[in-house]
Amino acid sequence: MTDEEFSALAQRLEKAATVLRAGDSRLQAIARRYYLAYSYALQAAEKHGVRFRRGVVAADRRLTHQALPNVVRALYTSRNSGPVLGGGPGITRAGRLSDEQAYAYADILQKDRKRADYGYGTVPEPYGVTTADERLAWANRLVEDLRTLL
Amino acid sequence: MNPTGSSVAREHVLSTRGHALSGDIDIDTTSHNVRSAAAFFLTNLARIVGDAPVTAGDDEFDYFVPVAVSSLHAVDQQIARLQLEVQERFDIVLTAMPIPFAG
Repeated sequence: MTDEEFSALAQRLEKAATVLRAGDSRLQAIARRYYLAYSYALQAAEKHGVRFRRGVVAADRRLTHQALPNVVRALYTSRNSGPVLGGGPGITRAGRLSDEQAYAYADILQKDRKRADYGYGTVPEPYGVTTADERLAWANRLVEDLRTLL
Repeated sequence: MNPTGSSVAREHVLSTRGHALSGDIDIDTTSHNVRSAAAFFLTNLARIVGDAPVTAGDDEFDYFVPVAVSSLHAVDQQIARLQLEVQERFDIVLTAMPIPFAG
């Protein structure tokens, strides 16, 4: 993806999350904000040549949503994480998330994305305002950190 | 969990979910590690979710577990930590998806 295409995508996702949150569609807003973090991670992984360990099947070498927590952790630390080989300089900015936090937030947010898109469960809005905004803030923290790698 | 089911003595152990992640290793060791990892994961998952029924997952997650929405925020974080601990201890990826229900 070119820088221009990526910038346009990021703006669309940011706007969508803001509009949905303003309309009190909390889970969908979290899902759009998750996609924003996912897009930043993908762009950073591509730029820094993140790879998967030898022995991981080809189908699992794609940077899937399932793999994202380990991709993010590898980007934060520049060390291997699970099936993902470390790459890039790591994230060094002051106040960054710890790599454990980054893994956990990426994991939880990708589950929220699947809850929003696939309807796991029977509760359309599982979070109150405080929790929803905390999760949106997690995504923002991930984006702020990952942006430093681009 | 997705065990490899192979009896080949040495092979590249494949996949990222429910499998060992290393390259050339003994398959007996791999099977033992997968069993140990699953036991550790399920034991600690039970500590998190109590007596909620854990069921087999789908192509996205290894396990499903119902969780009341009032507990979901905390349980999501505890499960994420457990997943990472299993990965670090056993070099195996296992995942659980909390399924929210009203309560």
